[in-house]
Amino acid sequence: MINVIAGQILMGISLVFMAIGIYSVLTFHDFYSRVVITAKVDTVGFITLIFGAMLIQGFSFFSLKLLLILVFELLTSPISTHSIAHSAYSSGYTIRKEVRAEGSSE
Amino acid sequence: MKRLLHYVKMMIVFAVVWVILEERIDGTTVLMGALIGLGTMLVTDRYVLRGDYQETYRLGFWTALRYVASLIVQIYVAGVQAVYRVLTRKLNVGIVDVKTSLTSDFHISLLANSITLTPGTVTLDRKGDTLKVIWIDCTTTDPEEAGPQIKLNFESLISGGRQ
Repeated sequence: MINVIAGQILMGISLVFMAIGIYSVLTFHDFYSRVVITAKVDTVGFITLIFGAMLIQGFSFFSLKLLLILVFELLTSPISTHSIAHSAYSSGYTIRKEVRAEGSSE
Repeated sequence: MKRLLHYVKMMIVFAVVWVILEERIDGTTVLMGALIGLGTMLVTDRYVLRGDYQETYRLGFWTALRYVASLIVQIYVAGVQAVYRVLTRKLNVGIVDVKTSLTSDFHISLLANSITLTPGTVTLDRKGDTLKVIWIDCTTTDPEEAGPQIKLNFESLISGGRQ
């Protein structure tokens, strides 16, 4: 019983992380700061979610499958972030300071 | 001989993954997984990756374990820091060059991925042994000074015991 509650708390924490990530995408205007923030917050949220599900399920084949998914995510998440940032850099985006709302034209 | 050893090791890994996916542990499943793994490796060696790639993509077991543990800790630090920055809106984004002492391509790509996952930094580009990094709290653009703050201890973790 205690593990179910702990797992649900972990899942709730992960949802808070992801919500903050979405908030940052909506409010920041510089492309690079969006990329940096979302890359972190997403990964943390995902890992916490997986740990929560593993806690609820206990040690079983289901948790091992979740572990496989986690490994895959750890390998691919930085690569996708990198390719997005790299394509932005090579098409000549410059850094804008976060000063005021100026329409999100990115 | 070395190639045979590599095949056997990879067959064990494939069999374990197959057992997890099938959700059943008995002789037939293990054998099936090992055989499918063997077939996959033969096709890969024959048509996709020619030449000796076994040595290129090698990382010791304990090195990998220590690396992943330290990576997960750093990911959590990164997440908390990112949330703090979103809420206080303290951003000072800049692009810096970082030099690395690692030599093999595989290790450099691992380092680049770790930089992407650790606090406040995303790797942009690589030329030789120089990595271009976006840094969210850009206090200095000097590569010598910025290096240790960005790379943390991942360089020694990745090369761990092999150099």
